[in-house]
Amino acid sequence: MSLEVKHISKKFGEHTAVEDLSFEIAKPSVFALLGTNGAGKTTSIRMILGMLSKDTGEVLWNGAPMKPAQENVGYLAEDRGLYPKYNVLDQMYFFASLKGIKKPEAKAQIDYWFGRLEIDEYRMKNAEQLSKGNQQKVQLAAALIGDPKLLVLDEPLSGLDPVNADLFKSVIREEMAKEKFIIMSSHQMNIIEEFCDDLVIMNRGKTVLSGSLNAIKRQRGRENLLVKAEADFMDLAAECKLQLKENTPNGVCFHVDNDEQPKIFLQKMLANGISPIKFELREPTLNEIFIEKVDESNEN
Amino acid sequence: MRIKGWKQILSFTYLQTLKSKAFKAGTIIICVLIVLVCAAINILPAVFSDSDGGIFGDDGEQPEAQNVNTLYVYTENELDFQLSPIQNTAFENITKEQLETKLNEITSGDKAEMLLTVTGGRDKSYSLSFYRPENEEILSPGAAEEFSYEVTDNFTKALYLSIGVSEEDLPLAMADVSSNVMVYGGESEIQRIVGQLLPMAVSIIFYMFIMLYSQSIAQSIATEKSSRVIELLITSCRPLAIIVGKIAGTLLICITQTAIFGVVGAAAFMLTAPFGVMNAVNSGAVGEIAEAAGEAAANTDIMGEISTAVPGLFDPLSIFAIIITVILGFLFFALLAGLVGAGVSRLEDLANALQPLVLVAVAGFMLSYIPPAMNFDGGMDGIITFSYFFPISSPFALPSAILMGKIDGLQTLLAIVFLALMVFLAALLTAKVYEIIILHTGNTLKLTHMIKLARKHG
Repeated sequence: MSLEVKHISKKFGEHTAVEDLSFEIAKPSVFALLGTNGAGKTTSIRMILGMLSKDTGEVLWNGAPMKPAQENVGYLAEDRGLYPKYNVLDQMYFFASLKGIKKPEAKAQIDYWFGRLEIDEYRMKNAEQLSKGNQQKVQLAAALIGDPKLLVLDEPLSGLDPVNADLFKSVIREEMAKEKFIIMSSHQMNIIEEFCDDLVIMNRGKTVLSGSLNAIKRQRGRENLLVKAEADFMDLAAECKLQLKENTPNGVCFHVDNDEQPKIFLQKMLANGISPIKFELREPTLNEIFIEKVDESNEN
Repeated sequence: MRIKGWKQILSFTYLQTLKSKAFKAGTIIICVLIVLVCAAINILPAVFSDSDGGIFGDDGEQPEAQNVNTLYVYTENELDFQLSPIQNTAFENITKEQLETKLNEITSGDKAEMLLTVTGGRDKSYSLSFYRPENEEILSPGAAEEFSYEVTDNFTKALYLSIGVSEEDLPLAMADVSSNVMVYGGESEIQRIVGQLLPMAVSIIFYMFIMLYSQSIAQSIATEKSSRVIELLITSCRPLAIIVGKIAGTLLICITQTAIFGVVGAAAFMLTAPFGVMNAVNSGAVGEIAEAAGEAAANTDIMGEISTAVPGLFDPLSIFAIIITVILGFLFFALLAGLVGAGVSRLEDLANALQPLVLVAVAGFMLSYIPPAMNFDGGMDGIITFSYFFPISSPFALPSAILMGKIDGLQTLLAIVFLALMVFLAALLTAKVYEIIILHTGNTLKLTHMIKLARKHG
């Protein structure tokens, strides 16, 4: 199984929403679609799921053109939606029936997911009577019903409290363990780093970075130096031409240009009797890469 | 074109609408109104005729004429015949001098007495005037009136006998003769009234049904868009399946509700019949009603007139054609309403967006009943024929025309085929446009924009 997105583009009038987006998910994994607001993530997802027609390009599922209405696809939309006046259980049966699931099987799956997501007590309530978080859980259950092979989660954790965010994460891990193809879009970079193997970063419809997250990080090298000490070391850092990135209670972060800079800096600190509490050389975070790439794209 | 999932949408739309409070409340309220109207049709005529002394009283019996103890009779000219006596009523002739005193006595008196003045005669027509007591408790107006009929009847019989009519020929001489002025091959009065009222009534009923349910489709689609459920739905089925399922589900709701109203109406009419006018009809009082109203209704075949005025009412093929027309009309407006619903992003924009469609439907509705109602000299014939074929008016115009036999079989068939063709074209437009605009957000889309989109996407 594989999902291939080949050169898809979409224009709305004169505005280019997505331009020549390509990527491939060759094996079951979590793929991240990142971008600023209005970058074209949701439009891309809608094209992949066949909700929107493509101006160019194609989407292949197992080598054949993707037909989401005929495939078993789970989708958690960014704009959550349930029928406000209808009871939750009826809606779940309805969504299951649209996926071709018979009632007894649907019942078993609804029971499982409602229990797993801790919303069993709300099944007979109308959607409008539920909190936003619980509505989100119902929609995740609706996306997961039918055990879809391809799962598209648009901002799955936005608006959730830490406890429910953890619950959602555990469900996503459970789906990963079942070898699902998952496309995830999020602004929470730590979540993406936690789950994703490959990614695309979009800005104004264009792809500004794509590839394996680990490869991207390796390519960038360990360019961040985080230092924390009792004594003042800022003059020594300046002598070593370290570029200050940020100063936080957790320590001072510098950008290093080469491998020698941190060694020389550490030697000077020790020579001046300054013992570091923290001296950590690390790869750039996804957040840093994201901001940097988007800024570069905007400058161009 | 595959439209997998439409049955599930139909089933969900149907069941959820049946469960909704709005449907339950609306159906119950209309059922109560139907029961009240049916009961009123049966009971009110009986109640009102009872209250004024009774065209027919309890159990259809007349008030007793012999409640009048004495009838004082004043004749302007001497009669050539004697009035037949009436049981338990004494007849007493009075002179011109006694007249005013006796009138005052009777008017303000406390006895069940009446006074009759007979004027005319001697080669002139007779005029009979009856005077009763002012106090209705002594003699009710109804009883006095009944008594006056009996005396008048006796008077007429005596008059005929005096001029040589035999006893055997008397019923024939006294039989009512009804008259009706009309053009040969033209309409009677009943046919004319039915012809004016029926198109309006049928148009109003079908207009209300078609527009009510079409707008509910638009609202349902707009709700799905504004609540974003649509995004979840179209991962499992094509947008076209959604609109097809929704229209079919709403049509089923319409049929269910109509059936409920029909059953409730029939049951209410049958259950209240024993208490009202049907009982009177069964007891033979209908002739008396007509007589009291001064009409020759007993000799008039009203049902025959109605069946002549509304021939389609009793013809299964015509009823079938009407049902097909109404369903096609519903589909035509429902498809357009569905597009309107898909073109708005916010529920609050829907009323404004629906206005053009409502205006179009109102124009069709007006076209369906104003020309037939004003077609006194046949000058509207062309417009009326046009209204049978024009898709915005034909769903409202055709049913009444079929009912009244104003349109022949071939024209009916052509009009239905043409309407079906328009529905097909509307469905094609919907199929192309709906999938494109269903995820549209922002300003409400105009029809011209939708058509451009349809052209752009082939």
